[in-house]
Amino acid sequence: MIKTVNLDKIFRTDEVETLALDQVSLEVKNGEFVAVMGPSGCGKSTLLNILGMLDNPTAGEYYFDGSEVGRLSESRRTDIRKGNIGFVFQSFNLIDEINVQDNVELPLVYLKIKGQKRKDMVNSVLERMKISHRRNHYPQQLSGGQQQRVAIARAVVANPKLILADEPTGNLDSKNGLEVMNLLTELNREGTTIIMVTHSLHDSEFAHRIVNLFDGSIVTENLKKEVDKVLL
Amino acid sequence: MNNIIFRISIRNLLKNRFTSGVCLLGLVVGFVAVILVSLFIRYELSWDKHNRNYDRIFLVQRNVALSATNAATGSITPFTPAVTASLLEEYPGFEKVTSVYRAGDRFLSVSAERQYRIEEGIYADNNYFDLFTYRFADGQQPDDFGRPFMVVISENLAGRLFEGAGAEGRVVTIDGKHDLVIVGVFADLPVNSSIRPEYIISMPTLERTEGISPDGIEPASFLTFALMGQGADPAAATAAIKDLFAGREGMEMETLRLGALADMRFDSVPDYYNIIWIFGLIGVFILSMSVFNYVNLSIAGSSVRGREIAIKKINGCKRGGLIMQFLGESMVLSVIALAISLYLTTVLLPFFNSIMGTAIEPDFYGNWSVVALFAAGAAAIGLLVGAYPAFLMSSNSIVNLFKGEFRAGSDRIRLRKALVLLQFSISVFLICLSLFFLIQVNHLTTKDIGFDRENMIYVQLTTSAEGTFFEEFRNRLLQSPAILNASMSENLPFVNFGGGTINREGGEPGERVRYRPNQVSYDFVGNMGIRLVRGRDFSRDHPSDISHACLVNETAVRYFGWDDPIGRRLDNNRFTVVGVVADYHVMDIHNPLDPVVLTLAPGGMTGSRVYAFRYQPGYRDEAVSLLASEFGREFPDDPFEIEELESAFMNENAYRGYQTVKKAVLLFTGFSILLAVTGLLGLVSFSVVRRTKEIGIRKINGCPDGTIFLLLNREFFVLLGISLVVAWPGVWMVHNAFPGAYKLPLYPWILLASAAAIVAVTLAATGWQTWRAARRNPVEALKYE
Repeated sequence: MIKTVNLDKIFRTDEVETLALDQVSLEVKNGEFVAVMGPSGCGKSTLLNILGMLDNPTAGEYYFDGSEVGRLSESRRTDIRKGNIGFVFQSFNLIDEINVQDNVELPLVYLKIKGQKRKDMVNSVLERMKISHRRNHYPQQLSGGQQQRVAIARAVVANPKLILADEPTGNLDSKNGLEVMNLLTELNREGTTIIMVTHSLHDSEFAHRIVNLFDGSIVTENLKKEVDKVLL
Repeated sequence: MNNIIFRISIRNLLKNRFTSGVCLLGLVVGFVAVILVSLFIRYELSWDKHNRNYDRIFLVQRNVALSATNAATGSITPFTPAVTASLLEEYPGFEKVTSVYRAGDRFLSVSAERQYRIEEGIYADNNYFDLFTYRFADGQQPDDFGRPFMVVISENLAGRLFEGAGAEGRVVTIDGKHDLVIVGVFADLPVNSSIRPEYIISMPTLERTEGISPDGIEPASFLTFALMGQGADPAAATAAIKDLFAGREGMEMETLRLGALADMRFDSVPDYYNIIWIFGLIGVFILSMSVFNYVNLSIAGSSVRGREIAIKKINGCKRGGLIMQFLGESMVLSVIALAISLYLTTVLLPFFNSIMGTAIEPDFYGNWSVVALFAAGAAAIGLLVGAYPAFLMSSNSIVNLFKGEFRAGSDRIRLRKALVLLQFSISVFLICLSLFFLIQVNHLTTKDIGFDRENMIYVQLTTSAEGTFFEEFRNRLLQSPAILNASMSENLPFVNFGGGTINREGGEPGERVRYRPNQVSYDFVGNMGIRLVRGRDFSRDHPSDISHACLVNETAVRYFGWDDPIGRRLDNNRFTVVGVVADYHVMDIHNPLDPVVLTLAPGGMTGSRVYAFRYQPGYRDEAVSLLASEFGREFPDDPFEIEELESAFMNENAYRGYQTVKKAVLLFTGFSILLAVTGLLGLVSFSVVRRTKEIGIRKINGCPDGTIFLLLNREFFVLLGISLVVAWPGVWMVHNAFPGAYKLPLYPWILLASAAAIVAVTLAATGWQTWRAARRNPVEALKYE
């Protein structure tokens, strides 16, 4: 589903040039659950942004579903992204000014899905995330765990093939964090590909495979069992 | 203000140069507007106030019926000014009464070669100087004005005539004929004087030179003023003299009244008080806009100062100290703005005076009471604009300040929106007003005034020479291809106009109607391009037309209540109506039309007459030189000038008044739009920052740039829509309150155009920032979190 070949990403300011990604080659198959780990500043979020087509790489190739997307214009990227990729963030990124229902509906609006259909889709995903009793509340009125469930609802409402999660449990206590991980695992079991950036060894255990980044390069790629071994 | 706070204030202002600059600019614009407006209002309200007896001087007027069908009355000078004056002096409360005669254009000279045309001068008696305040160079008020051929002149005129040499005791010649002895030189009167003569001639001279006496019955050009005693009650005096003439034969309908000197300016300028309160309103509006601006920008500015305030608080700064700091900054800024504004005002005053036709002096330097007033005002404004951010920012908890959560405070957003809403409303209001004045002035300038003022020159000539007949003179001039037509008349529209009262066949006994008389030659109607709507023009084929026939205008027909005017009689049956002309404007473009009666006097060119000539287009210079030589040859002793009728039209008071109001309203509308744009820029940059996260999330979820752009602009357009709802009724009310006989309706397109203009201004101000925000990479947007 995803294949990158020698991705580079360089950030330039007037004086400093930072190599955020260095020759990153990665393949993620349909239905996989991959965790990306590494210390702060190693390039995890940059990689995720490129995989999510929020940003273009400086060099290298990026194939999404078999077609090269690394050089596309922003509006083309937006078109491919819509309905194919869902995002989950550490800080939830819900719009404070609109309620739960409207936040979840957002991607469907831009996919130009008809009103009644939208309502049905939102209802079913809210039921599933066990948050439908809060549909008329505003983000500030919810607990962190509830907010993240809303964010996941928004990420999956359009049935995307891929979910990109950036530290999804980073702002949550362990009970809520576990709940979110269970939700992601369940989605993965139903066939959604998931790539998750995390600091938490505990969370990474839910993944099939772990990619370790250090200073912008992939240093190790282990299957889950090997990770267990390393940990022991 | 404590020294440290002052220093920190200055430092902070310098640190945030852009914000302080914009705040300062807004305050300066507001202050300059308010200072200009208040100087203007003070100037306008101080007309004639230089007179020591200002409160006690009254103009004696006579009420006359405007028409048979209309009960309203107009005011003109009483008959027999001298008799009226001496009768009035018998009444209790009247201290002194004087009559003056307005001379109009005259030529003064000390040598035959150089004639000075002086527009304003009067004839007066000894009493005049007891009523009105004049400062004479030698401190002596003239006491020999009972003798003929005495004159006093202004310093300005003395300077022009004698170029600095002493004028007193010298001789000056009037109209090249009569020598007058200069018995005094007086200090120039303020420009805002209703009667502002350059020369004052002793009253007996008038009878000796012109044959006009205040003892005569005709009151034209006379004004009678009364000085009331200290503590006298003008209302009681008015009641007492009301029926002075009631019992006299032929004067049954006459009543007298007293008009305060304060009302002279009001009566001479159309819509005087309206102009003043519109200006006052505009001043208040502009000042409030600049205050809103400041509050708006300082709230925006203070939100980025959260960290600074938090650190100060952590280090022990008390709330009072923070409040003092904010107030200190705003007051420092306000006082700086005042200083800049006072300077700018002095720079702008000559320009302002030239467009407003005023003579306002920047007299606030050294006038400490005025400066203190302005300074107190500026300090108050400083407190006012600083108060809200000061109390708001200092009340936040340290934790909130650090987290930056105070940014989202929805109260503050609502307040800022309300301020921008008010700014929008004021701008829309002023745009509507500007548009209205533009089309109104355009309408007055271009509307059909009833005659053709183009390609027409005229000569005003007063002569005692006899023996030249206009018919011959005219025939001689018409030989030239440059002159197409010529006429002679007592009065010429926009140049001079007579006034009087007349009775009519079928009127009530004793009733007299106010009208505009004019004695004209043959061809007057044709030469002026006045349309004849019924009957016939004066004709050389009807010898009895002379002193028997008359033409009236349509308004006269209406006022007299005639169905068939032809054959009706006027003025004790002396004149018979032979034709009706279409209405034309006689004195200005603003006042309602009066009845006009034209009588035929085609004979000699003696006395005061105006000669109008229509020239072949393109042959103006030829026509002028021909007239100069013909008039010069025929009347070698009588000075004259040749002028354009078009420029007489342009110089007329009401026309100039409308032009100045239009220019001033446009100027201040420009100010207000500038302020609205600044306010808007502040709000939009704030809004874009505040919504950065939302923009990012929406874009990640597939929202196209165009939709983001619309989303960001929608809130401004909502504000804009509300502001229209607020402003339009105000426009409607002001339009309703505005008087004027030729007021245009408030066309709906004016309102729509104001909406279009404000939409354009809004897009210009917000478009770029919002478009940039919409185009931004969402990753960048979310990095802000």
